[in-house]
Amino acid sequence: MSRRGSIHEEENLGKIYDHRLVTRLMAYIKPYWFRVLVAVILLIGIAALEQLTPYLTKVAIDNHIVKGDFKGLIGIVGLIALLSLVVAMGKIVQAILTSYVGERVMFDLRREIFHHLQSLSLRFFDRNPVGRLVTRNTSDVATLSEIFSSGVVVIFGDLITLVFIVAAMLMINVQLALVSFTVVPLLVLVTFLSRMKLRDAFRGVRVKVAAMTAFMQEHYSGMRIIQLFNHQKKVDDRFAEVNNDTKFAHLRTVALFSIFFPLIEVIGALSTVLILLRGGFLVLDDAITIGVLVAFFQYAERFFRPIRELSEKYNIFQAGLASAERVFNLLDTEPDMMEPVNPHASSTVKGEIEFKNVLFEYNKGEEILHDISFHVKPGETIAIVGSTGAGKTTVANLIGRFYDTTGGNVFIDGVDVRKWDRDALMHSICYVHQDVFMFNGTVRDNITLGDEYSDDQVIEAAKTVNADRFIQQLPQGYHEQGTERGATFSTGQRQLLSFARALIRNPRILILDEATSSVDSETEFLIQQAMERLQKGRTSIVIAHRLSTIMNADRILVFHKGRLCEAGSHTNLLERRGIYHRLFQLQYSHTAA
Amino acid sequence: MTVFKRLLPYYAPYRALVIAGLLFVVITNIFKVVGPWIMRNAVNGLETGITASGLWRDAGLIMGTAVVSGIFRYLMRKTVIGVSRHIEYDLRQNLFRHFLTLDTSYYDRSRIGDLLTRSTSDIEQVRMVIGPALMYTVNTFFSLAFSFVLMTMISPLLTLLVAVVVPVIAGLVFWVGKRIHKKSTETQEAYSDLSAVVQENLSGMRVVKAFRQEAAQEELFEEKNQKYFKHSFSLGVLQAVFFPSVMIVFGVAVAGILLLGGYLIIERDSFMIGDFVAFITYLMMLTWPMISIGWVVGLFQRGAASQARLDALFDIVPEIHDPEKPVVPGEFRGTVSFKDVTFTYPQAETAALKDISFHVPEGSTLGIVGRVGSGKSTILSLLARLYDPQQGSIQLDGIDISGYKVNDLRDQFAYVPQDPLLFSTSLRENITFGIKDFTEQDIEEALEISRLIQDIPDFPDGLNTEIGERGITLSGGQKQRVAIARAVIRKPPVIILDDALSAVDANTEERILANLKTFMNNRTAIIVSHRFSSIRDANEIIVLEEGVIVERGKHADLMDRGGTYTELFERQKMREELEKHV
Repeated sequence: MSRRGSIHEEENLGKIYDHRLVTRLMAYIKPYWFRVLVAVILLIGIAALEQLTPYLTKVAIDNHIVKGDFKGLIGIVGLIALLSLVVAMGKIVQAILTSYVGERVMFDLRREIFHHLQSLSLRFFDRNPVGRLVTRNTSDVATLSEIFSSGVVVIFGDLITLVFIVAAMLMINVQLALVSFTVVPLLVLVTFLSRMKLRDAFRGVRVKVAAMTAFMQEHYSGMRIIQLFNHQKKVDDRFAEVNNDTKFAHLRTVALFSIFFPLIEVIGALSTVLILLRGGFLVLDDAITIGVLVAFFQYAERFFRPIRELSEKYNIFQAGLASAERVFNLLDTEPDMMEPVNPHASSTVKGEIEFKNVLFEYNKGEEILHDISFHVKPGETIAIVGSTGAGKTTVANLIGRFYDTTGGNVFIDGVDVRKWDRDALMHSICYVHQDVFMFNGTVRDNITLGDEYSDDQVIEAAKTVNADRFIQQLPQGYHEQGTERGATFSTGQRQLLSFARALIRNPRILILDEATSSVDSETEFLIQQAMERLQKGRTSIVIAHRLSTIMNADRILVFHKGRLCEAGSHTNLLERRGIYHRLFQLQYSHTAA
Repeated sequence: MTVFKRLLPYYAPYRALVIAGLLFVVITNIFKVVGPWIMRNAVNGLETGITASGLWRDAGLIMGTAVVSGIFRYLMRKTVIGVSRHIEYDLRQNLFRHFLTLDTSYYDRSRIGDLLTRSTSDIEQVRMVIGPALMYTVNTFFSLAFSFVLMTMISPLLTLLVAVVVPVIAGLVFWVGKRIHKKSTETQEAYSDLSAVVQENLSGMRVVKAFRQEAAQEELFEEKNQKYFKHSFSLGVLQAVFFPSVMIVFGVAVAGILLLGGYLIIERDSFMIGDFVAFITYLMMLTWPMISIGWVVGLFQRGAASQARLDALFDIVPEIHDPEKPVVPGEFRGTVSFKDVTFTYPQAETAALKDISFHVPEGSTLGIVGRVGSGKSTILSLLARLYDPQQGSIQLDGIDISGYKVNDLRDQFAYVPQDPLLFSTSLRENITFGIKDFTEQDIEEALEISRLIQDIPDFPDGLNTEIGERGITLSGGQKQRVAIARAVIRKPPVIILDDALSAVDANTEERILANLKTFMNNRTAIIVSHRFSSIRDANEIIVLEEGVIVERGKHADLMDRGGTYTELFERQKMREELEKHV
């Protein structure tokens, strides 16, 4: 299948700031604007209040401790304790609000994406691997939301904090403040240099780890061959190389990390020493009080964190925007099947089907069906036969308008399927697929598929299609949980369940893709009997593999390489000694006896 | 902690490095705690009258200790974390080596994804214990110990205050950390649930649309989405509470030091501003190691779980192994015989092969035919000892194959499997896979027999062309021919073809068969095939049905009989004709 029109993963990673993208993101925050506003106000308030503590410490030392005023000291200390309490509370509330908005935006986005996916046609799903679409709805949304939760908010908070710290320092003592700032260029330089180096190193690690994982994956899957050919020694040596590459890539990051943290500490010590020297001399000169010096030690300490964090946030922001772009690309995919303007809906469907000169191609030039015309009267049973790739399943898919034809028309009750109301149409058509898909849930859920049916109806349907017996034998009966993809049920049992699923809906048109895999003769009999009951009184189209189905059909349509080659009854077609004759010999003769 | 005992031998080669690393931890911490002490003297000096040179000296000392401490911190990380990377390498190499010995039946019942998880994230979790967890534990211990000694020297009373605060922070971190861990596990589960719904919805889209389940699916998704939101948000709340609450304790502690210190200065005159500065610094220095405790405990827990999983894996003993006293054969002649062999796959209920007996004399050819699942490939797997049969005996040159060394046995076969399974290396490496001594002449011959030679000009780098993973850049027929070349280059006494030409076009097939005929002249051959062209001339053909030999004989005899063989033959002919028909 071609990947044209699919959403590509890797592109557009380099963009840093896209105005439209950001505007579109802002729309998602809008419903929560009040919370965002409160969070921002809190953020500013906290950043300001936090910077009072060192100042109050200075006041405590200069005005009370040095002057021997213990009562006053108690007051100031109480104020400091209270302040740290208020600041912490504000931080908690602000973080909770931010987290709420972030989670909420993710929630809304996921809902929107899921809803949008439901509206897309099978053509879209044929082209986009499930794994990638799951990623869009889960991890991409999570990465995107970091723009809010740890991106914008924290960047803003860090900037505001820096501004207040600088202001406080300048206000207390300009000269000492300027001395403190001298280490900032050094700090910024070291931080950004090591970020850059680390990013390269991490990229190296990712590449090597990916190569190693691929190597392991390949060799674990090919273990049989390795052992058959006595290749263990050589493979072991080669893994040692790959493993070693990974180790050295890691050791590089270890070295960088090891140097980064001590370096930051040394720069911190440098700033302390500078303040001690300059401040110390000022104290000795009685130009400043000792309290000012103590306050500056604390400010210098606080200065470092925001600068270091700012550099980290940049990457988060970038990754978030890349994810946003991918998510929006998906949301912008238009459904390729148009709903009719004045949909035809009829509650009494007769079940007449007509194909008129139908052409179908998945991709331009790859014709799957070529000029197909046939007519099915209400209540008729039609068997479709043909070898693999003949186009049988495509015919079935076109009846329920899973795809639109490339040329020609499909009519139900004389009305083009494109003019039908989708719900009404699908209400009268039921599909039973060869590979029965089981949803996570109980047996009952898998029959009703969440629609309203009474227990009696469910049991009645199961009985009719011979499913009741094995269901009753399950420990939980109809409430037995099917595991992922219904793995606990045998193929035959799943087939019977899917019959019940169809029967309970009482459709006018039944489309059945017979299972090819062999089941034991008893189940075979049960399935055959169930199928007969299922087809009674409806138009049914069966992609037939069983001889009995073919023999019982009113008419047989023989498809070969996208063409309708022969049509008629079993004896009729056998006499013609054409494709049907060969197919019959090949596929059914050994079961004919 | 006992689970980590098995890790001790891994430390042995790096004993010196580990000891050095731990020594670096001690040195770092000594210099680290001295800094605030000098600072205290300097600030106190400002009150009692310090000289300018004294101030310079103290500043120099502070800078000096910071630099020394920084250097040793660098060495400490580089050494201890570095050792953990070395051990990770050893551990992974051992695991891989162990995988190379495990049986085919082990791989039949394991998922590749799980094996990868063991080799990557489980080993990473264990590494976190080996390196970082060990380092942070020792670091926390020494920084606590040294700081407390110096703090006590300044003021026992205030030390008592810090001694109360430190456990409170540790307890808080531990308590909240545990809750965060629990909540994040729940959130992770909700996330998996949510992904599962999306995954299921998308893979079942055909059914969803056929049964108009879109709305119901959206409802289900809404429920999971709500649940995830709930968990994720309450995790967010916990995280929101975490740091600020540590900061409250810290803030109150600073206030306490200020108050108590102020009291001592004012009332007792036994404390100074410098002492106050030093205490605040010590408190700050201890906050991070305290916070790291909660993290380290988590590392140990996760590491222990991973270590247990790895242990279970290492404890698996391969069932197929060399005999204690292997037969040392002279030259293999290639006589193969099965005597009453019955085999049931592990976990299967019915036998895949029942009472299979045949004898293939040296240099002759055995053909095996039968429907899908009739047991053809199983016979070949048993011969190569990928599995051992439950009953009966398989012999090579008259000796039971379990009497040979496994490698000696397998070296006697040129095996061309159904799925060629190539590796993402060069064409040349894929062909010379598993052989040590070969000449260019050997490669030429193998290329000629497999008719790969005609394709070589199409490859950009000829034989050195890198083929993609599992050979995805090659066509099905090319892959099969590489597999044939890979087998025949070994020139062993027995050649085994498991439907080896199914994807090769008829023309090429004919030429390969002609080449193989010469190659098989003095070799024993066992051939499974759907195409009758390759087995028509076999000395004996056996027909399998549900694990039992139902017919045997030469082609002409079997055709005369008009049984299963004839039917299979006719159907294959018809299928080929239909393929041509338009």
